[in-house]
This record gives sequence, C-alpha cells and structure tokens, in this order.
Amino acid sequence: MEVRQGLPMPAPVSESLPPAGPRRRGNLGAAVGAGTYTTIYGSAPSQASYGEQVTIDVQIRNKAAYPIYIAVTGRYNGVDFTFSPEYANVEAGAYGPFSASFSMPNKDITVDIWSWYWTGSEWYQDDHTSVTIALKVLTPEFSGFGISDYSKL
Amino acid sequence: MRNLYADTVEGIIREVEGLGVAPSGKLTVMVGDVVRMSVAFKYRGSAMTVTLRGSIGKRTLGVFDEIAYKTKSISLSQSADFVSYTAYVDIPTSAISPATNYDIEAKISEYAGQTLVKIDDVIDVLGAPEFQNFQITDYSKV
Repeated sequence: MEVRQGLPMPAPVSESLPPAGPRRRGNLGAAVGAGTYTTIYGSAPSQASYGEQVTIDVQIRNKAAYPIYIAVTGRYNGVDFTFSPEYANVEAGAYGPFSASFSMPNKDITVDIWSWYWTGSEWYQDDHTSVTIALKVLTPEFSGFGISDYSKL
Repeated sequence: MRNLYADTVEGIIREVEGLGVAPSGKLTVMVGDVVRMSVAFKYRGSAMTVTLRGSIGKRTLGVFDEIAYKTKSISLSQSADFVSYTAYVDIPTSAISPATNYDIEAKISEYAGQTLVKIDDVIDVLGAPEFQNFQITDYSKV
C-alpha cells in the first residue's frame, strides 16, 4: 500500500472509536492526498424533477491494510447533507455502503462527496468526487382547455 | 306571514343575476359592465406561472379584432399527471361599442397553440338608455 509522506495514518478500529462523524465540511481545494486510504464509488441519478427525492448511494473502499473507520459527507450548491451511517467500520479492502437523500431543488446541481478516515484523534478528508444532476423539466401539456361560462358581474 | 311569491321571485332574480352563461349561450351586457369569463383545463408538466388572457372582439374573415381583454397570472403546480384547474378573468366592456354578436376568446398566452379557444356571436352590448320617437299621441278628458 502506498503511504504518502506527511499524511496522517488511519487508526486501526481497535485503537479508538470516533465520537461522531466529521463535523467539518469537505474542502474542494484540498485535493492533495485525495484517495490515499479510501476511494469513493457510487451512483446518483443524472437528472431529477423539482421536489423529487434524490438518493446518492456510495461505496467507500478501504485501501488500508487493516480495518479503519470511514465516514462520508456531501454538499450540493452550498447545501450540506448527511450520509447514513454516520461512520462505519470497514474491513481492509472492503467497501462500506453509505446513503443520502434530499429533495431536488428547482435548478441543476453539482453534488460534492468526500470520504474521511479516522486518525484516532480527528477525521481526515481523503477522497473527493462530484457529480452533476440536471433538473428534469417536464414538458408542459394542456388538455381540455375551454371557456366554461361567461357572466355579467 | 311569509310572502312565498315575493321570496321566490327574488330568489329567481338573484339566481339569474349570478348565473353564468354556458357556451354558446348569449350574454347581454351594458357598455361599462364587466364580463367574467371562466375557463377550465387540465395541466401536467413542470411548475410554472402562466398568463390567462380573456378577450372580447369581432372576428372578420377569420381575423379576431380584440377590442377588450384582461389577463391574469396563474400558478401551475408540477405534476406528472393531469391536474384540473379553473380560473377566470374579469373583462371591462367600456371600450366596446354597442352592437350585437361579439365574439370571445380565451387562451394561456404562453401556450396559445395548445389552448386558444373561440366562441362566436355570444355577447351583445347595449349602449346608454335611448328613447326614440317620443311624442304625445293624444289627449282626452278622463
């Protein structure tokens, strides 16, 4: 396994339990070291209509040689959303499933997803990916348009 | 004692006053009256605000000369299935000259191709009260 210089190592699950998931937002500018110990795989709809429930399913692969705690956070157009579970104990080489859903806003969105690993003292941002979901516009259609009555007020 | 006859007559008058004319019945109004034109339709698609336009005019050789009209914004909800709507516009008739057989039209302006409907010869407009040939026809002792 490649270990980059200067990056905190993930803590083995036996050493410490995270008190909670990551509280920080993902940092789009922090691409260095992305995906060293985790890799994001997932699926999201390419388009959704306004108000439709959008579900993001991701699988985070543990690239470390031992079990580690992994968490996932997400954001679309500046709106943070949470994945479930808050974090997971993922075996070496295994994939941890995470899921999130939100209501599609009335415009196209770019969804950013970050994976994190627990160092024993903090959550460290590791991999990042993004996906665009287009607003599905339903074709306007009228039926039976007619004057039902007219009267003098 | 209750006057059944008076109640009935009053009730009928009220009902007639508030009753809309169904297409293609004739409606007679005075210049300056307001005509309420009601429409019904079904819609499916994305949420949007559209413009209902109701008009009174004269059609000549297929061309509609719109003399009086009124518009109103209507909010349509997003739906994948057809949803029924009703709406109305109140059209002032002060710009219309007294005459018979005016035509009416209604449409959603942004989707006129799907919605334009026309009904001919349904509005008669009366002018100000007029007297003609007023004269003394005779005089006698009673």
